[in-house]
Amino acid sequence: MPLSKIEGKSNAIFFMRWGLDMKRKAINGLQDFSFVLPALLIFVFVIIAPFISGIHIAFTDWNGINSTYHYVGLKNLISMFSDSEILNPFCNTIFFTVVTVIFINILGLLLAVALNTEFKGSNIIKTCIFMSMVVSLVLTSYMWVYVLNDFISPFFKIASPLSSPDTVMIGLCIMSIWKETGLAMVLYYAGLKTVPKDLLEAAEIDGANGIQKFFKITIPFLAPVITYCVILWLGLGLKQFDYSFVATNGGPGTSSMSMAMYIYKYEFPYYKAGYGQMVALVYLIFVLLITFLTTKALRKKEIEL
Amino acid sequence: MHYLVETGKLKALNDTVEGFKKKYPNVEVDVQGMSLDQYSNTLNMKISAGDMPDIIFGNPKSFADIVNSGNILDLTNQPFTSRVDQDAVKCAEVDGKVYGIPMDLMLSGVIYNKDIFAQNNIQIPKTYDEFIKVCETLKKNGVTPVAAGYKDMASVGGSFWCQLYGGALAQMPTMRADIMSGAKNPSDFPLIKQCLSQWRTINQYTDNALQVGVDRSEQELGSGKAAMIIIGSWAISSVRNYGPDTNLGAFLFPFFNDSSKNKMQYNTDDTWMISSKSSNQAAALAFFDYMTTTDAASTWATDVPAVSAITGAKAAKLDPILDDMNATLKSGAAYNALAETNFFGQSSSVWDNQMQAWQFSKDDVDTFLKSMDSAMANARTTGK
Repeated sequence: MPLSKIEGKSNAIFFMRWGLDMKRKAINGLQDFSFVLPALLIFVFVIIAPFISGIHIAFTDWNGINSTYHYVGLKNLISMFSDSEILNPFCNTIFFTVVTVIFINILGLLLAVALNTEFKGSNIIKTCIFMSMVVSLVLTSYMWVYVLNDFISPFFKIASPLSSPDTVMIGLCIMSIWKETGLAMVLYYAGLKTVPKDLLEAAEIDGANGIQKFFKITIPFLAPVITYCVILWLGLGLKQFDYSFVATNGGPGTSSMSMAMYIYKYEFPYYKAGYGQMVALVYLIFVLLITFLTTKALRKKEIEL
Repeated sequence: MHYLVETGKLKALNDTVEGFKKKYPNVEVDVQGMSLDQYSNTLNMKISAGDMPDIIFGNPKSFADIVNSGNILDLTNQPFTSRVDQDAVKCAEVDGKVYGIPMDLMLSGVIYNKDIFAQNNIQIPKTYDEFIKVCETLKKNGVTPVAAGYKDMASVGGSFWCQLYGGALAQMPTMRADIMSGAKNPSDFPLIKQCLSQWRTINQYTDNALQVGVDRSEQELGSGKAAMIIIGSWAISSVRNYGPDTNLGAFLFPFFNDSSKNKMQYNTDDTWMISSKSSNQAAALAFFDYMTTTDAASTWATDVPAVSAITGAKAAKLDPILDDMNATLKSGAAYNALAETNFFGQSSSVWDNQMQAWQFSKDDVDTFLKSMDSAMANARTTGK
């Protein structure tokens, strides 16, 4: 057979195999996509579609109840940057996010490490710590209002943190830390199980102490979990609404109002939905930026470790 | 839809609904209640969603935004509107039209324990200085002078409606309209400064007011732990839950040292509106027609208990607290706090928040008034 015919046959076989490969990849891809499709459809109809259809409201003077409105261009954006009252909920939200991210992750990790060794009752303790996750945010708020105001305060003769504008955000942080630490513990516990025991034993033989093993071996293996957990609670903190709304209704005064609550107030009881929508849009961009930058930094750290 | 929580008012509503259902057995009535804090938000969401209730609890002046958006039915020319006392119906007007039917009057005052006063040889104070002296005496004798629960807006509102909206507001009747229009700031009104300063002094005679809610403060008075509470008549049924036999009465809060200037704040309390978009408007109008009959309105007034706003209707028996308040009303030393424009929308929310913030503030009154000016100006201009 002439060489050109052999080459031609080889090319044909190559392209046929390539075609079959692509077809198989496409089918696999579609199969994988079909598992994501239900959640994606819900996400599109419940989140994306209303979001897109509501963007234009940010450029109007709609009060939320009238059937008509007028376009006002960037007036709402200018109004937002000249509103001195927006600083308070913004600072509250940042404070809440920073404190809860730090404490939930540190406490969750410490609990996971402490409960990583098997002892009698360790499973019961793990269950008890995780149980806070099944309590709703609303019930958590009501419970802790009672605990802080009607139990801890009179029993220990100290002022409830919810009774002062200076400490009310600390009170809300306590609620969130209590509720979320259980999940952090579970995630870190699962992460700890991926740390190879032989590496730890080898390090011990080489003379490494507990702290050295933890920081040099355990933490690098936990890096992906740390990235996931920090981003998770970063997002939850930045969109915090329930504790502010249910536990304190933004009070005393407006000292515990969060950004989400600020936006809600303008959208509904203040009858300034156009302005509220603009604040929501700008805040969304801010949150996306923060989570993107944080994710990028943490992923880079994962690689370094 | 409503935000009634007091036992008496819930009974009044239930009796009215049952009475209406007996007259119109084919009409189904679905009653939905929620807390005051969530009421406005829920109502707005229902309006936005096109799911507005047929009958809405609330005063049109406080819901002026909803009225001005065309969502509330004009009741000016309805036959039952003329059954409301002429002075009371003004409280349900927006731009000269009647948008609500008030069932009873809300009177403010200092509810006090007569036995504690007698035991401590205390007379009813007629001036502010005398009031403070009474507080001093009670405190020295180990009695909590004033019960308050500023964790809840209801306690804050009950207190400033009583202190500021009586004789003081009578001296500055357009205060709220002036602040909302930007013509004046809160700091331009010396009587607002006086109210805040006096309120801070009175708070020295409360116990744990920053950590408890209105319910606990009502309990403290009803059970005899505290001697006085500065509040509105809407709280009477809750106070009585805690102290059905406590010997209680009420007196006019003395804002001024010149007793001739002191007036009791009154306005209408439980007011109902009809949605202009209601698909059951005929039934809603029939409900209002029934509700304002002398019998139904008298039952309402007896259950609450309250002074009826419907001409010819009255409670079978008034609580002694209300007897005292009613006597002050009839004496003429009273001011209708809803005769003029009331705060509404964001201004109302910000005003209430500022009043609550004052209870927790460590600022001096002038510094606080500056922040109040800024907050009220912001409410007027942001997003407009």
